[in-house]
Amino acid sequence: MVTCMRWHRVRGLAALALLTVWGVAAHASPDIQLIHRQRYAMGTVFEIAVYSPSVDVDKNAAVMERALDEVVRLDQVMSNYKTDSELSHVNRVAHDRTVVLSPDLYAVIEESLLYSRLSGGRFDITVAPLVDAWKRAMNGGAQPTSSEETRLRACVGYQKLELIPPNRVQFHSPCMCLDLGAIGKGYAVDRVAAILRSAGISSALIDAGGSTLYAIGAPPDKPGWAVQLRDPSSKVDPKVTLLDNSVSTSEQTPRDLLSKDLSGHIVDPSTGAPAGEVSAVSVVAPTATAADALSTTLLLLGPVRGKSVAAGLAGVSAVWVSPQGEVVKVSGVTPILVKGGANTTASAGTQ
Amino acid sequence: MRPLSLLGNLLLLVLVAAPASAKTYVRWTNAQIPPPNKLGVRDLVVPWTTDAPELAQKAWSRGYRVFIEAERPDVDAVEQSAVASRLSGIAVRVGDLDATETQTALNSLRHAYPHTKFLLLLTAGKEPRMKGHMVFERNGILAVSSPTSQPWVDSNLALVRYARMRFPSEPPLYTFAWDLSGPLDQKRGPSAQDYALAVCEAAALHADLVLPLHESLQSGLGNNQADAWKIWSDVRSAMRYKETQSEVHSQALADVIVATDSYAKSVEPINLLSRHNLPLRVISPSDLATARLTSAKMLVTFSPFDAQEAHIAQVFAKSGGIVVLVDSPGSYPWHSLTSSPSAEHATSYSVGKGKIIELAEPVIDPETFSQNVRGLLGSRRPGVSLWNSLTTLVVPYRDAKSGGTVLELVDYSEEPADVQVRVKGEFASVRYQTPADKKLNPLTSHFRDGFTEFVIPPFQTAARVYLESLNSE
Repeated sequence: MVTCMRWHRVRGLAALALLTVWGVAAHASPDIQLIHRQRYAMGTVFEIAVYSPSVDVDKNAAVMERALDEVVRLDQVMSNYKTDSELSHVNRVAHDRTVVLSPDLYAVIEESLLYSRLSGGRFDITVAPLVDAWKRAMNGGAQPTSSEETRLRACVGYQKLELIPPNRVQFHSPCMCLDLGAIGKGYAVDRVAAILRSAGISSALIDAGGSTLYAIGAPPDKPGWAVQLRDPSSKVDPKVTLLDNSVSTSEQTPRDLLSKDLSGHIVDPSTGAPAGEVSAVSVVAPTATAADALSTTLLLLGPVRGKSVAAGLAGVSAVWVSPQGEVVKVSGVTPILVKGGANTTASAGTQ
Repeated sequence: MRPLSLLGNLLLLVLVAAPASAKTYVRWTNAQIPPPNKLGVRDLVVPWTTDAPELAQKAWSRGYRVFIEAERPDVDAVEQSAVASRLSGIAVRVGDLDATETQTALNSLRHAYPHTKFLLLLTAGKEPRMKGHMVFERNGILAVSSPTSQPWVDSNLALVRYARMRFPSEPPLYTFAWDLSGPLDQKRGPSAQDYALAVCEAAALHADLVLPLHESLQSGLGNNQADAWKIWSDVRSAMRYKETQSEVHSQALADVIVATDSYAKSVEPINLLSRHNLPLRVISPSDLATARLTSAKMLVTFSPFDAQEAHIAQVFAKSGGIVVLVDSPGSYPWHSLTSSPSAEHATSYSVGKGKIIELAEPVIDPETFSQNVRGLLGSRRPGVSLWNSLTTLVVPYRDAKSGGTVLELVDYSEEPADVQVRVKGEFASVRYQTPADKKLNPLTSHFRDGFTEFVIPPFQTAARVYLESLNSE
């Protein structure tokens, strides 16, 4: 019973830590209903919750389904698991020639390069060959040897990826392969938000696998959508209230419980190995694309370097929480609240 | 493993395990009951309430067979009621799988009422589904930003596996309650897809199911509403698919043996091991001596070993197996060997060709634990693997009659997707069927490195794959 209760407590505490602190609530009026839709896409569950006037419930439910259809469509554009996706095609042929990209794929790659430059290459969508090698290791294969890592690192490097406006790309490495896992969900969330807004929905929360959320407006009579953030220490209870912005969280895969093997799904391009940072990082940003990309970026940069990067970005707040409860915050326009813990804080420089 | 000894092992296992009957019972509570030839079922389960006798009479007048669903303390009242003599049986509700007196109580009922068919109905089932992260409370929703983005799947595989171990002479029969949190779901009830998934999951688990019908569906069927019959058409298709399962001669294949005598302690790890499609079997630690570990690759125990069990585990490890003890301290013979800390709370012992790992704490993170188990199996590749299908469970069976392998697949995502499969062994043919297309369609397969690989075209909810043995008659 103890095991079960502890597991449920870890998960349950996270879930139960409320949003209702600020009383996210209510459809206090019978004229407003809270409706929810979800869809599996991009290897996770996308969810949308909308506060809708009762008379518009069916109409808005249809809009939500349309928005989720868009996520499925974008999965077919950006997945590197689907052999028939646009990205998989690009990964096969862009070494030999320039390839025309769809507007969505071009936009995502373009924004990815922005974060690569911002982070000095720590954020890098060309890291796929290294990620794949470590994934095989996590699934029981051999860990990459140092010579194999060296070989794979030659395939990696955002500087070898050339975007040619308005819509083409070419790889300048014979083994380059793109992986949009660190930014694709954020982009999809932003597209969902655009569809909901264009249909007149003014109060919604969009959630991609729990790792990237975007809030449209606020729940009825509330200042925003309150979100409990990831806390590996279970001590500091970080929270944020979203209002027309996004939060995204990154954390390295937990270390093995049963063996000493190095593990982790987030690979540091600078070392070629799984990132050793054990803190959870949550980033608030104006768009989900930015929040998604920045959460991985700041995880890889770590709190010392990451703090200075985040502080220079408009509309960005960030928090690192270590398993021991040490907290580093960057306070932007949207404050992230924590309790207790050892805190260091930097303020964002600009609005 | 030599085919003859494998067949012998399987036959012995078949003899001791009570098979399910591929049945889906329908729970009915509405006063309006459609005719059985239209509903397509003959057995209704009626919960024991003050209205139950009247409802049972109505069902009989329509031509149904009626089972009463009751808690153990109410069984005497049912037996003494006016409807007792016409009942087809009583499904006795059991919530706590670890309660020690359950089988004894059931046997006592059978002795006291020899003319009544008693079924053991497990009520700890969950609505099978893929879950997101939002939690709906009375006053709104709860959202948590977390890096874990893999979809959470509620399935009943752990329940059925544990129940087979705990009540080996009872056909596995379970039920669940629909979790309808949003106003749309409460108004509309479960979708056709939700019902079909529940039935197809039970089919994959080779278990019987008491299917709860939302009041709106019952009312719609009883009042002959077209929308309701449209939903029911899909449900019936899933039921017909379930009825085709070859349950009598099948036995689950397992790479991982889980020894446990506590459902509460082990249900989540078993659930997550299943999510990672590690073929597993649940046994009681006291059955280790007869469990025939030789075909398994790993033994995971959530209960401390006694001296005999420890000896068996050590012999298993010596021959190349991996043993993992979870929060099961004791004085064990391998403690005389050299140990090395293998992780923060784990100690590893090299034992012959294998190893024994003792995890000093309960499993707090079943997802990581399951990934680690998979990683430990490493080069001992699982007998069955799926690729690119995070929401699909596969349960492999060996057909003792034909010697072939049957894979039951369930997908929880509602999105049709193809699934890549790799199965150990070489086969004469690979064919599949789905609820939508029940005829057996051939699949192109490739044999590589001792494994057969194939891709099942996009399917929704369920698929069943038959791999014909090269040695079949």
